[in-house]
Amino acid sequence: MDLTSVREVCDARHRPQWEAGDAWLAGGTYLFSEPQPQLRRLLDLGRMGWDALRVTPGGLEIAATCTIAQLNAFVPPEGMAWPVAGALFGPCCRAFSSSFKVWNTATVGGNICLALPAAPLVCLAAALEGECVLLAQNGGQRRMPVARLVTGAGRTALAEGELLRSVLLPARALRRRAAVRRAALRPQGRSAALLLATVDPGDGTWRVTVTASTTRPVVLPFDRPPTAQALRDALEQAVGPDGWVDDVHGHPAWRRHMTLLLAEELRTELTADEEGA
Amino acid sequence: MTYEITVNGRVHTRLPAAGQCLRTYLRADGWYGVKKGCDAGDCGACTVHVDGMPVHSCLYPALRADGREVTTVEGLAAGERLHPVQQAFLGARGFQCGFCTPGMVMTAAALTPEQSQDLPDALRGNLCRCTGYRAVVDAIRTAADHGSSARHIEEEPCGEAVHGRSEPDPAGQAVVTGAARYTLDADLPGVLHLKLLRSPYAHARITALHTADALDVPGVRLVLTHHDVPGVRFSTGMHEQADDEPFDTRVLDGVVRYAGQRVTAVVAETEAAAEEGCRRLRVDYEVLPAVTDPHAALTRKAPRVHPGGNVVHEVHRTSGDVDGVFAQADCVYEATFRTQRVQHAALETHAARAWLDEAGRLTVRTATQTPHLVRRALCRVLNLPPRQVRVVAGRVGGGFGGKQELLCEDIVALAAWRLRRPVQLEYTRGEEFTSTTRHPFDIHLTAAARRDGTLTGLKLRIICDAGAYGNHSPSVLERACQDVTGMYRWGAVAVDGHRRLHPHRAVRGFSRLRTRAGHFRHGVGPRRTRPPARYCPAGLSPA
Ligand SMILES: Cc1cc2nc3c(=O)[nH]c(=O)nc-3n(C[C@H](O)[C@H](O)[C@H](O)COP(=O)(O)OP(=O)(O)OC[C@H]3O[C@@H](n4cnc5c(N)ncnc54)[C@H](O)[C@@H]3O)c2cc1C
Ligand code: FES
Ligand code: FES
Repeated sequence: MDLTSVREVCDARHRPQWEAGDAWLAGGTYLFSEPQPQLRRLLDLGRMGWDALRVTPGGLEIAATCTIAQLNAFVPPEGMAWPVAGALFGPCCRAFSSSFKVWNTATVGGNICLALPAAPLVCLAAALEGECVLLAQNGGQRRMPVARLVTGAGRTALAEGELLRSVLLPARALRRRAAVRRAALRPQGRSAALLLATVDPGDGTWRVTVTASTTRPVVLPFDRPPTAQALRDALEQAVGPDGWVDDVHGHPAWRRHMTLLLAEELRTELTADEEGA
Repeated sequence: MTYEITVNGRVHTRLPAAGQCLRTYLRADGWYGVKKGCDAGDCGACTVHVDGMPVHSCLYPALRADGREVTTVEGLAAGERLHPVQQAFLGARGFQCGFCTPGMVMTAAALTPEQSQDLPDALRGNLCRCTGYRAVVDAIRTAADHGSSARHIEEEPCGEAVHGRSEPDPAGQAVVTGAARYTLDADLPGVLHLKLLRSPYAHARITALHTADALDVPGVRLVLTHHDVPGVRFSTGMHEQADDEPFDTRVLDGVVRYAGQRVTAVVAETEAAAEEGCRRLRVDYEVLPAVTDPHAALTRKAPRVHPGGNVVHEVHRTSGDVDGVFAQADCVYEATFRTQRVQHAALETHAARAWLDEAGRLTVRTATQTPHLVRRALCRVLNLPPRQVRVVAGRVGGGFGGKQELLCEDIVALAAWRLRRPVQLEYTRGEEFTSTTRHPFDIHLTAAARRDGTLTGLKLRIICDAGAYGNHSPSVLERACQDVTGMYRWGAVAVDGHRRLHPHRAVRGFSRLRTRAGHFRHGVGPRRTRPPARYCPAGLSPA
């Protein structure tokens, strides 16, 4: 929709001084979907020219401006044994309730910074030990794990005017085996629970990540494959009685139920693989 | 700053407003095939291709289209030759009102063969409120496999036969090419935009209105308050029998009776200025006690919504010996059924435009199912003779009964009459949900039956939540109480209905579905009851 209070769109390449009423404009698929009467200026990231996806010796660098469609189409270069890319990227990119047409312009950075519980890229990046590169207004730079950047439903640790530049996924996380589960009230609906589990083929460590059903990402590392009870207890404890999302996309009790159920499915699947291997 | 985009081969250089989306930019330049269903990325009615990539133009910043090529549904055909997808929608009749069709066509034209295999997924961003998708899917499959799968498409005319033939929709060509003209699909030079400030309170008296700041906004031409409108009360429900419904509504009222009710109207050169005007209005309210539960509203202590009380209509009817049949019944079933507020969500939102024609006659073009009744109502509200008022409807983008209600026309007509300039009001999707919904029902049903499945008695106590204003409520209640008894044959019937008080609006099927839904759930089960119980004219016994 038209954002009628917006007076100016500035090219972010020129590093405009941050003012009250400013917002970074990435794909705009959230910003233009609701009235934003508080906004006066949009700082347009559309011409930053950042490489969407860069494979480095250390892993994968995803630019904040990488679109969902670009990430969905990503194929690891020849010789890179990154099973995670195949197992998780596609399902996470498709875990939006929006159309593929929206994915053509919606960005990874916009998804993480909007920080909805149902943000699938928050889940993906948190599960893969993603680290955010953040640019401050004064030119300073800091890094922070994605799982810590998102502090609540729609809340982040971003400072005023701080810009997410990219997300770094370390190669060791990309080499893990992985599986994904999702629940929603209808097949293409808004995620009500999204769970990823990964296993390190080397040292056998586990990592279970939960979003959508929880107000902030919940990441549970395990030194060895957890038992059903251990996984359940760890989840209940990490989320706490008030940590389940309560909105029209699902009742908290149902979300909790589905989360525990899907976590157990993931555990069974990855343990079976382990034993089969 | 310069700006240049190519739309369907034509170059446009007008600079968009900073926060403008591509959808409104394209429409302002006459590409009316680009529709608004939601303005929020959900419905896909606004789908266009930007450099060949399908996007929802309501989410796409217009400034970003600089230097790019945009294709709308109007640019899809190669000259006279329809695109295969357009041809398939025409052949499979993949539409009813057709408001979703431009977006469906533009989406389908961009699908990869792989995406065409999973249409529920590929079309998750395209809503159709009319077809139930079957015809849409037929059309897309036909286009994807070159016509071999959709079986109900007639390949050959059935000779001279008049019957049994699927006639093409006379508007089909216009619908699939984006040429069909819905309510707002026409250039109206100099049109002003009206925006409504709505009440945040369920019940309040307006004690003061501060309009000066709003009037200072550049482009604002008029602010209408309850002091500026005729005192006449009318019903927003459009019925042939005008006195079916209570005259309890004013264009703008000094007392607001539901959260979301109109408080003031701001008319400006642009929607942006009208919205800014609304933001600058200050209203002082004396908040009054409110009642939002229909049962509570019937109690003696309940705050009064209207001076006449909280009951807008009652029905009490008895036929046959109700007590007798219940005393003799083999089985008695008793249950309470509740329905919630719902919205019909026609893809085209409510909208109206008004202007004075060359002869000075008030002309209103509106998304309505009842232009003739709108005209009658406007004559009453504005105190004008019928020859002074002309009301027309374009193609209506879905109504389902929901466009049988005076929601926009009175206020735009009044503003246009005052300003002697064209004025339009286009509802947002959000406004649809706050101010136009279907009545919730509470149905307490007791039924008596004999062991052989014969239904012998029915007692109904129906409480219908009418919302704050009467509009269609009396007739909806009558329907609910009356039609329900016509479905099965009953020995004896007693009906008690009350309607009270968010106003609830015109709908499809009125109330029959609700009370009938109540019927289907009784103990014996529809399959066993129906044959002996089915309604038959007197004297005939059930088959
Ligand atoms: C129909 C529909 C369904 C949707 N379903 C979902 C869903 O299921 N799950 C979900 O999570 N979202 C959903 N969305 C919301 C949105 O499309 C996505 O979250 C998308 O990924 C946002 O990305 P964007 O680039 O469009 O962000 P924008 O709209 O451009 O920005 C989003 C927010 O992030 C800020 N921002 C953007 N980039 C940066 C940056 N680099 N640094 C700092 N701040 C930044 C913006 O200022 C803004 O506040 C849906 C949207 C629609 C229209
Ligand atoms: S998706 Fe743009 S109007 Fe609905
Ligand atoms: S034909 Fe699809 S909305 Fe009417």
